[in-house]
Amino acid sequence: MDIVSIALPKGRMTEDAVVLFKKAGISNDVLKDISRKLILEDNKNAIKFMLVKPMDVPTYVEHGAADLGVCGKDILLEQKKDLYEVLDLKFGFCRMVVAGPPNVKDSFLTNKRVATKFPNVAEEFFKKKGENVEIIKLNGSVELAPIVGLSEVIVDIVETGRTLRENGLVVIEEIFPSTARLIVNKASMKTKSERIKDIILKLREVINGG
Amino acid sequence: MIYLPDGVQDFLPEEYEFKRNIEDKFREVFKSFGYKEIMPPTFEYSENFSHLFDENSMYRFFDKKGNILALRPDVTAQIARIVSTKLEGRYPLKLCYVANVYRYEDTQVGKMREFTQAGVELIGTNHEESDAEVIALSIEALKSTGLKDFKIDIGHAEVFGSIVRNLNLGNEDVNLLRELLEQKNQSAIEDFIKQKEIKREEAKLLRELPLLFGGEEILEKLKKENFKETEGVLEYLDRVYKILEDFGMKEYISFDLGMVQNLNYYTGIIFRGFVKGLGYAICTGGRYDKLLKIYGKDLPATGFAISVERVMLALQRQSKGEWVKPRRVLVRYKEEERRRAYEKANVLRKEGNVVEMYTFKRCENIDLKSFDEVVDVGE
Repeated sequence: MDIVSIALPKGRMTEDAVVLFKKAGISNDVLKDISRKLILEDNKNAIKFMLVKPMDVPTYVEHGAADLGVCGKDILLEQKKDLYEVLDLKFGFCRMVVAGPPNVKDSFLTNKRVATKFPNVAEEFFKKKGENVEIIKLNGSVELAPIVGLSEVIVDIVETGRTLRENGLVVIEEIFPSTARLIVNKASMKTKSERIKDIILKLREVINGG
Repeated sequence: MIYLPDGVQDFLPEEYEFKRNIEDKFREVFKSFGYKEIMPPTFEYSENFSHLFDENSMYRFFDKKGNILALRPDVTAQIARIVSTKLEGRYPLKLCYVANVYRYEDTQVGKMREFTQAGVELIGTNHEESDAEVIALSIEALKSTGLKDFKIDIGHAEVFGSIVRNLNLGNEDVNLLRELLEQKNQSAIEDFIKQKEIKREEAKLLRELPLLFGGEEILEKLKKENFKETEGVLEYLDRVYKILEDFGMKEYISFDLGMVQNLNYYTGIIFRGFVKGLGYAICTGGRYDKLLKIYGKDLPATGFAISVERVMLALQRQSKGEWVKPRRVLVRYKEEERRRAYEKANVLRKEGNVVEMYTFKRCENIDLKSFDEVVDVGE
């Protein structure tokens, strides 16, 4: 049997993903084995998990280093990779938003600065609105930018809104909601079609059933 | 340091020999099936491509008179123009090419802005035997390079076409649905069905399409569903499959009835070639019966293009980057024997060897190990 490799995002979605695969009867519970290992093999089910940075999941899958991947819609929209996005896994819910200090709400100058980890999403969003903005790409702690005067607003992912509140920021506009998606390498879908189809159907059943 | 712009590359001797070797194999196979090679110009008026390609995806520039020109993004459009305006005679016409094309796209490994396509066009016939011939030819061409573990995945443009016509969707919705099918995005298709209040029969077909891929049993599976829209398509694919089966190509064929193509000139059968472990198609093709009409001659046509660089990548990954290299022979000679040495070298060259000549004196700096054989003339 062909081994199917699955790229999982390290961090907040790891546990939900592993639980889902177990519930669908695709793999054993490998959670207890996650420590510093980057590759977890489940030989009984011919499944190999690899743990990578969330932003890198689409890259592994697009190049075929992993057959499948679990990845947030936010990252897929940012990177626009050439792969199949087959299922909404219905966990890891969050929102992509424009946020900023409350006093700038609805009263912008035209050339505002936007700090974000998602420059493509931000650019497309403001372009569609016909606004000229300057995009400032950051790699983390984006909430800091408006506080220290690096930007007027930020474009970022919000789960509960706690981080925003703690930094005195409010949501100005929602860009899109996001959840975890199952993505598939285009060649693997065809060269390992029976196994991958089986995995998709099992996951679909669990998601739709509850 | 001098840099190259994004999306272009130099091929150094080793690499280029490898590439030429593959291209020559494609040429040989195409020729052996009766296809004649042609070569259109690298650039022509931009409007000749505008039916098929977005302006922003082309390299466009002005000539001194202010005409807008474009580097060809594709050879098929050029062949359609040539056949419509210059080639008279009896059909079918069988043409092939190995040519560089240029597309302004995001670059990465296997996606360059200048890349080589090797392809064929079979023009003037819309019989299933033509489609089968072209698919068989693509398989023979890929096989000739030593490539393993590849599949030609077959679909039909009319599966999507007939659904869309029945649903009466606006242009924007058609494009959205095409994108969702391209991604095999089952969750979003479900949402689309609810949002557009799509009726039972079409909704059922749309729900199944993303996973309607696999071996020939997929045709059976869809046949049992009895969708009026897909009856004709299924019969056609079945007939093509029977031919390919007789050609002994069963193991290379798979089906994907949910396949949609980005280039919107396809009207019938469509196909893509995939290799295990490479995330993008190494070959795309299909039937385009309405393209030539745009250029003035209403002729059916079918064809494909193989991406040479992607085949190189796939071969390297399969460590099949080896090919039969000619023997390298060194002819060492005494100056007085120059005439005889040159004659000897030419005889060896005619026999198919690569021959280099040096006098004994100059041989001190030559890497003898790079030669398969050393022939001494004199001494």
